Amino acid sequence: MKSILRGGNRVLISKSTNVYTNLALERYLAENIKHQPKTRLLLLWRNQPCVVVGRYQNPFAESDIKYLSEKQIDLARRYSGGGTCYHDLGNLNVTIVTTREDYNRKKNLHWIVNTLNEAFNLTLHVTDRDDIFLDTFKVTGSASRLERLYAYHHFTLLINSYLNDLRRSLKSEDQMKITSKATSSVRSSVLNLADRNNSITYEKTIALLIEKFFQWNNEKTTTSCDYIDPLLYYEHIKDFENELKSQKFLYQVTPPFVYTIEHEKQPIEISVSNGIITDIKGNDSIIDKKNFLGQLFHGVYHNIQKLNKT
Amino acid sequence: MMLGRYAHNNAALRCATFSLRMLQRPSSSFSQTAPFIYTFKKQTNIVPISSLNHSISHFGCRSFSLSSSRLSSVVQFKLADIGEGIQEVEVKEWYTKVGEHVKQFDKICEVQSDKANVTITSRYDGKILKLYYNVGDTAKVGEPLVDIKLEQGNNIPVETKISSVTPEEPVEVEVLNKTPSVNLLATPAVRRMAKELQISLNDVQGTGKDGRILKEDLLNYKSEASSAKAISTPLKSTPISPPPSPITMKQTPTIKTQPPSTTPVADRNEPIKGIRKAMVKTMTQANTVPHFTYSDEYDMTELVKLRQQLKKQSKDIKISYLPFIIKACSQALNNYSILNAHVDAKCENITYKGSHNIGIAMDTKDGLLVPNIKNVQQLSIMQIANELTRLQQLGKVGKLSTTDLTGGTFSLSNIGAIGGTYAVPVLLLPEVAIGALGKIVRRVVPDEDDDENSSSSSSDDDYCSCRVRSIMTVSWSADHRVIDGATMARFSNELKYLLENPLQLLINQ
Repeated sequence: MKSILRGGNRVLISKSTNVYTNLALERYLAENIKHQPKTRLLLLWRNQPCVVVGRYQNPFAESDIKYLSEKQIDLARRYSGGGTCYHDLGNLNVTIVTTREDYNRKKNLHWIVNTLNEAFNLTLHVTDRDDIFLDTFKVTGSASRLERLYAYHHFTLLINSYLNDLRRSLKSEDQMKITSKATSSVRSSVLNLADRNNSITYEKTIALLIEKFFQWNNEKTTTSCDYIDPLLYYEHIKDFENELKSQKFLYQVTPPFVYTIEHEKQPIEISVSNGIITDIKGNDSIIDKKNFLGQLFHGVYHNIQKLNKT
Repeated sequence: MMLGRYAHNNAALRCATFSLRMLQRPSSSFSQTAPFIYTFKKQTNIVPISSLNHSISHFGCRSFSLSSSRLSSVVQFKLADIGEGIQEVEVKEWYTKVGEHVKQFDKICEVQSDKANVTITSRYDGKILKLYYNVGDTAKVGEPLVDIKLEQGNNIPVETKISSVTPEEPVEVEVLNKTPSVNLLATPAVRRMAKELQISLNDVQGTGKDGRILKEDLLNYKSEASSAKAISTPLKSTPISPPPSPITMKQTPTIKTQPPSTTPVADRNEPIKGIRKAMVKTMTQANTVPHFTYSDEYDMTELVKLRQQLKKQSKDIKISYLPFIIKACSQALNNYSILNAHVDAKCENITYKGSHNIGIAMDTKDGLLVPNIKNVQQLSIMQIANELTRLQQLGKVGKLSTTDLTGGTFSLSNIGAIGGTYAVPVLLLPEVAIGALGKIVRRVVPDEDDDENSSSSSSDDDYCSCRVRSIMTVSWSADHRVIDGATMARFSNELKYLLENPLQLLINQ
């Protein structure tokens, strides 16, 4: 059997729907596969409901943390930059991995647009911000990561997602309260592909992409397509997976920010750096600083919420 | 290379370009350069070169600059072109700081440009003197990102004069070859050491960054020459289990006065690669699981007769015993579903697998692999036989797919096809049971009458009637953390019953 890490034009479909596993797998494959010039690796995956924030984003500013924990929607931070996405089984994740030199986001997006337009009779187009829009609605979110030897471009494709859950999860009350240099998402109205053409399904889309992928890369056969069970590579990806799941990576890697609340009509500014509350400016007599200084912000978040507007 | 391009436009650095190219990784594009000798000095406290902050003026500094007057030691490392026509990026994170030493390919910083994160790595070995941006600032492509003070040394002859202050570490020498190997990363010091120890760098596994070969690697290789691993072998984690036959050897010592004169034959060293390497990993893992083995003998006579009958009836049906055994296992597993289960790595959860995906250890073109037949519970014996043939044929040409090789829930090893009777098979994680089928041998067994009376009446144990039967030994190994001996024994008994009474097998399909 050929090795899982061989280079060349290939398609791999992940059997897992756990966002942490899939992100870890994506990074493992990108870092370890012997990428050959002028070839591409296509990774197809999808996740159980979750919200994925970009590497340098602030999860509190991007999503409703409380809602996520109530509905048991996972929160994850990915290694690539960009904005926040909501994933569920109706949202297809596509990653294209190449050598650093062959990285070309526009080419990838144009390939997708052409393929989907032709097969499903749609009118998708690529915007300057490298998003794919259907008329005025956004249907994908892109992000990339460029390292010395490899680069990957991944994006989501809204096929049949629960848009209400999407909107609800990505709505953040804290957006106005947070000042920071973190990347903030640019929000747009979204649409499912299936809403425009109800014959489009996840299965059809995958089959279409696999076939067209090999054509695009001038391969005569589609045999280099495999399902991959990340469980088998657990030993290799567990470090990444543990990092992705850790509180540290989820919260403490957030760029420094100031969280402002109103308590008894007075503004209180809470400075957070590396996830830890480093300073509180406000009326000293109102709040007991000891409870918060030095604490992990995400740990005392609920207490802070209680103070707000009281 | 990137710096070279910009340097051409920058008169101040033009003189540095030629020599800076020398400092970069040697590659085949430099084949036209004349080899020249220069030294690298490792950073130490005493070596004068690095001591910019030292107020004492060093004799070393003078001669250093003399011999390498063309080399300017501080380099402005510029932000290289990111692609996609991007002119500006935001600096998101620094991985280094002023005063820190970096090696080539170490991470310097992370920049972000509209959804693309780029990791910028260093081109040089040296010390960071200046960071041009803070986190959150906008950096421009083509503009300086950091200043690096390069680490350099003198030519050999001059060096002896300088060492009135002897450096703590030995001075390293490199000769730039015209055709160095492109994929081997190793500092000049390491290369020299390899030469001295007469080790070929191709044989050494690098454990440094990007597979770089370090001094420790050379030392390890030297002391453990036989266990050197291949440099860039992709790791195959597909599960495999070798069926070992225990070999007991008795050596009777004979006393002689002198050994016969012989000439020793050279050893042959070979890095462990491919499937064997994967075996090392999976076997080591499996070894952490407490195994127990349970063996028994099955009377296969009826099955042998059945098979001969089938052969007579249809000359072109080729069916071996294995499909029958596989089907029988599946039937028995219906009653002992715990043997068709997976445990997780920490043995905290047991998953009773619904499908019986029975794996068969095969000696394929690539080595020992265990493809599995999916959903045996739904297949007829003929279908199992066909599937087995398909897998065997694929295995012969090395074309077994991932699907074939994954998802197994229970495994069998037909080592008896080659030979052997008893074995202690090693589990194929995360499965919990595995069987090794020995050879079917013709054996004489005493007649066992159903009524006990006859045996008690014949007090003459020396005389008894006997028959010749076909006996197959089977050895089962199971995960003793979740499977107990009684379960295994009862399963084996049920299987035994099915195989000894093949009709039962056919009725219950």
